[in-house]
Amino acid sequence: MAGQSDPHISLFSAEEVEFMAEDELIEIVPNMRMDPLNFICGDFGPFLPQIASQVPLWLAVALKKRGKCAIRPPQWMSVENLTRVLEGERESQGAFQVLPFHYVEISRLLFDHAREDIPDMYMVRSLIEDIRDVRIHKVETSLEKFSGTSAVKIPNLSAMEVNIIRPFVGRALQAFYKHDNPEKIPDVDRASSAQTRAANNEPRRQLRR
Amino acid sequence: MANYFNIDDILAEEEFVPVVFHKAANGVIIDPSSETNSVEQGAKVELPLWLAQDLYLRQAISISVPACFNQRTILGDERITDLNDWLLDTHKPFNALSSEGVLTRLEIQADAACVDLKSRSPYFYEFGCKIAPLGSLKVTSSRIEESKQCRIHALSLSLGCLASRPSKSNWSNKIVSNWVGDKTIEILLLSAFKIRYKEILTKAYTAAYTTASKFLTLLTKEESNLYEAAQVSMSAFKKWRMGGPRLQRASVLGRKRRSFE
Amino acid sequence: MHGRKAYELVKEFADGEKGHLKIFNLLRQSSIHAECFFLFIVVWDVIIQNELFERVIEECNEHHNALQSLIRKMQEEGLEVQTARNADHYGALIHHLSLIRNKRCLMAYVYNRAEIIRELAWKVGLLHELPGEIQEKFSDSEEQYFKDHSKSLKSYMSQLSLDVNVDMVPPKDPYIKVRVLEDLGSGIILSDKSANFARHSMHFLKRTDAEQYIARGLMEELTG
Repeated sequence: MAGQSDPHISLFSAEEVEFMAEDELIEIVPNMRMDPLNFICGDFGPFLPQIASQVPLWLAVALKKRGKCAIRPPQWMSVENLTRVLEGERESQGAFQVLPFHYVEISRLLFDHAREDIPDMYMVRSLIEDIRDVRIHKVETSLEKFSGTSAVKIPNLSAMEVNIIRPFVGRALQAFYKHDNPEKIPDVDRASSAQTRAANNEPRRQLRR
Repeated sequence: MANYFNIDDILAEEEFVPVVFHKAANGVIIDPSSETNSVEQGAKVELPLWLAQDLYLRQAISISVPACFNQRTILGDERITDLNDWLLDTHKPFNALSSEGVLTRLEIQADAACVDLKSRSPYFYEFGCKIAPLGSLKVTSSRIEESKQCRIHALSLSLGCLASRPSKSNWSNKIVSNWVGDKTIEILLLSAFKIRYKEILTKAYTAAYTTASKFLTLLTKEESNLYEAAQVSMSAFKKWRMGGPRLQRASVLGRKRRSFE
Repeated sequence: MHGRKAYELVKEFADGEKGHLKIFNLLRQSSIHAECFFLFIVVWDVIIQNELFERVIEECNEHHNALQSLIRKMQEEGLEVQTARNADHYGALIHHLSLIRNKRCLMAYVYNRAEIIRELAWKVGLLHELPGEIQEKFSDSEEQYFKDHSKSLKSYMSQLSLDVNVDMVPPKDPYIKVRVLEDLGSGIILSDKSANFARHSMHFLKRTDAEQYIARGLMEELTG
């Protein structure tokens, strides 16, 4: 109910992209004992205190909310790595640095629910925000280069970034395609079928000659 | 059929086209200058595209280029008329146009992004796409006066240098007897879209709504759809980033009336 | 000009806010709508507009009659209607095209409204009557359409034993905190509790129970 994902505007809402990101695995350190959990997506556990274990992000967040575990932030969320990525993003105008496909969603979920588990939380957060802003700006610059029908290839874009630009890019490419290939405009079909119709109305005597 | 229920497609076909009747038609009131309820052969009227299109395919009328596709639409500058007059008055050879002076003037006028296309036709592109293929049919519609030919040709020349510089010399060879078979409208649409696309992109993602709102009034339907697509997905992302309640009152119910307090 | 009324009808739909219904453009509803306006001139305008749908249908009939009389005339003159290309033929053709155009506009108007009406079932939910301010915008057949559509959705869901129109936003927690915005009284029994839902009271409810009240603006979700 109250569905916010509008099929006319975008394929996914931001919430839906986040939902998909919640299936990514992350390491937790439980502080309780629990039997293995058998899900459709796989089996997780058994959980033992102080023994690290891999679980889907949604489960990690649910356990964390109940104070049952600590979340280990992923490797790429370290200050050194993010500083390096940010530098890389700023240096190369064309290319994008390699980051997890769901880095925007994962980082937001962790900032919301596991802030005390992230060392240098404020530094990490501002680095990720900077990276995201630089990248989105770069996407826009690369979109400016569109000038006709062409396949668009922007490697290493993340899920959320793609989702933001998808409605615009889809429409723009469609328009470019339409104006670049006027003979492929669907309307021509209509016009030409009407043309044959008109032709059929002509007296047929000539054909029988 | 895919477009049958499409509202924009229907509205685009309501744009008017100047036509000349080759056949008389009885029992219809579409010629305001006629006293009887019929149309005479040779009558010049404006018809909505949906009607003109079919009559044209049945060779009952000829169509000329609607005013919104003349060159001032896209170049949006009074100075272009100078060029037009220059073309008409002197009948100079067209390749004289490629002299640097004229080209530069045309390039300066390339700020097509600021032209109010919407007032020309809110369905500039859709209308253009619908009318362009009509030109490629084998029907004699050579009723377009010489001035129009020259104008259109001046347009294709100027657009030629906007869109693809190297091919400008080809343009001078492409003096066609009328717009039929000429790719003028297609080229006009593509160049207009190319130039304006960039503006829409930058405005949609970066400009504040207040600065963009004036710009929005200049956009055609297709352009503002594009702008909106960018705006909506960006603001949905920003809203998600801020957090807050995930479940909300259905927007279809309209704005909340403040019943309490 | 031919087809102008039909154009106005479609234009009226296009000018409305996306995904929102306007009052169905028929004469009988004009009085309801007119109350909302204070200026006489606006009221007048609305009444004129509200009969558009009927006017277009009338126009279709006029085109049909004109078309028939032109064809009859051709037959009387002993012409082959299929092949003759005289002024009557082109007159008839114009009426024929106008008819088709009007039909397309009418169909598009009804079709696009029907799309919005179907969406209501997903956006506002099926468990209660639709709010009056929406219902009054329906035409009679649209009202019936919504009822039938909801009925078949409901029977589909009961066969599945699954509420397919909850969780349109990916869920987080099974329970959420809400505040009641309008006095709902104590007559409401939710799946796992019944309480007095007085205005401004706060509750911890099953998300799936609360969703429909939130969608209707009767409750709001509290976060943080």
